[in-house]
Amino acid sequence: MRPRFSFLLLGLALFALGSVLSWPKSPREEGLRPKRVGALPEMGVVVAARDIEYCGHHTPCGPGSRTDTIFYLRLVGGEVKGVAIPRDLYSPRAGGKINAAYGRGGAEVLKRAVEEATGLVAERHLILTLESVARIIDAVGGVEVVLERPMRYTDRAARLFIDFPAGRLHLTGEEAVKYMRFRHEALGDYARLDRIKEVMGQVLRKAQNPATWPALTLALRAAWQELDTDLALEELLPHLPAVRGLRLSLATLPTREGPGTWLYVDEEARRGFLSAFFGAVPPSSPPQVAVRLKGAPELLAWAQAFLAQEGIGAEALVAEVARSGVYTKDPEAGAYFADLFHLPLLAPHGPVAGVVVELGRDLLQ
Amino acid sequence: MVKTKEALDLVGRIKDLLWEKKAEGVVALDLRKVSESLDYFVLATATSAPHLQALERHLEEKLKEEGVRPRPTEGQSPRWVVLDYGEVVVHLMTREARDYYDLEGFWADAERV
Repeated sequence: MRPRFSFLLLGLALFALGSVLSWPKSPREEGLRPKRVGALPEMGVVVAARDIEYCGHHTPCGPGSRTDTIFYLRLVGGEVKGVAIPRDLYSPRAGGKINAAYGRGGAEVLKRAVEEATGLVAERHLILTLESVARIIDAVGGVEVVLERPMRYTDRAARLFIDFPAGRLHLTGEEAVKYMRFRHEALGDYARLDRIKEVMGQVLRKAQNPATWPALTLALRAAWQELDTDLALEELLPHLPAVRGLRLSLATLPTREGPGTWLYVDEEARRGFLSAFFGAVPPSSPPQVAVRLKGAPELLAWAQAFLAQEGIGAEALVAEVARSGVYTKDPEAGAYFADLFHLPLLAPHGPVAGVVVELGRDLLQ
Repeated sequence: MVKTKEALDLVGRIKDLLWEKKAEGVVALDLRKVSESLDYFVLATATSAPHLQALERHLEEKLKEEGVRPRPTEGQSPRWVVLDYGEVVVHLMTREARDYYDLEGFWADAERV
């Protein structure tokens, strides 16, 4: 079997698909003729997930108006760069926390609030329900995670019961949604956003496997019935094969803490971050940063030899890895190693020394 | 799953089996020069939903008799069935789906085998 390192990448099929195109709606799929476009258009998409609505005490009754998960995704050529926006961010446009923006004025207000927070143009929106997210994750066969410690949380009012043991787990769509909703730990919402990035990376990578495409198209058709979006599925689906070439980079918007649970945009950090993150071009020579490899022994040996050919020394650490990716706070170095290994760049909120390249067994599949 | 050296033989066998069941537009693409991670696609058109199921069943049963089984997939569409034999991935589609997704157009540079 040929090496398959290069067909790793890039997550939530829906997110990626949603960011691929911007054509107007077409009345019927049958009436369409596929029209191959050249370069994919550059565009900004606000992707958010609606939380649960309560009709009464302990009575969840469907998608609510609050969006605790908000990403700004920018499609630039064959690359998707995304910024996670913490739910507790103060939004002058929304007159409160940004997770209330959708409820206060629908997708238009949410888009304006995201533009205000990021300083970037948001042309399109894709507002998901938790059920649609679960459906799409199921369509690609679920996701794998490795928990360092058990994840337990009970919210009877929300009928949310999370009870995952430590170790490697395969999660169904419904379980993955629970995994992504959990935020009862030291890093709270930031850790939740990092988990969402991880799942997005995995789902998009799986969506790059043509074997998932029939199930994925069915799931997307079902999901599209319940989404709020100005992206027409009928125009997106013919471009499904283009998902194979997409590269993904995800980070979190820099914020500073305010009173209580409020967060504010860290203006100075944002300027530097946006310029470095969106402007990052892989350098032609290896960046001078510490590199650590994590994964199974056979993968570490391969990766060390591979890096040695590039004149890069790397520390190797045998570890259980569920998903392959490049983790760093350094956008330029991250771009270099993500490009070198054909892996998603998943910049975590927490500190990372140098660059960490995690190599999971998904690379061998 | 098949080994690389057997892939071309499998492509030929799959095409024969599809022709046996009157599949239309049977085409095999060698993707190795145009994709870093894909090897071979076999594409075929079914004239109806029952025909699509018949093609899938015929292919699975005959190859199973020869010890070749597809990798599990999550679910199939009534318009598009994928059988993943590792280096050889078979796409069985209705005519509308084949036109709509136009996999041959996307990989137009691939050599036909």
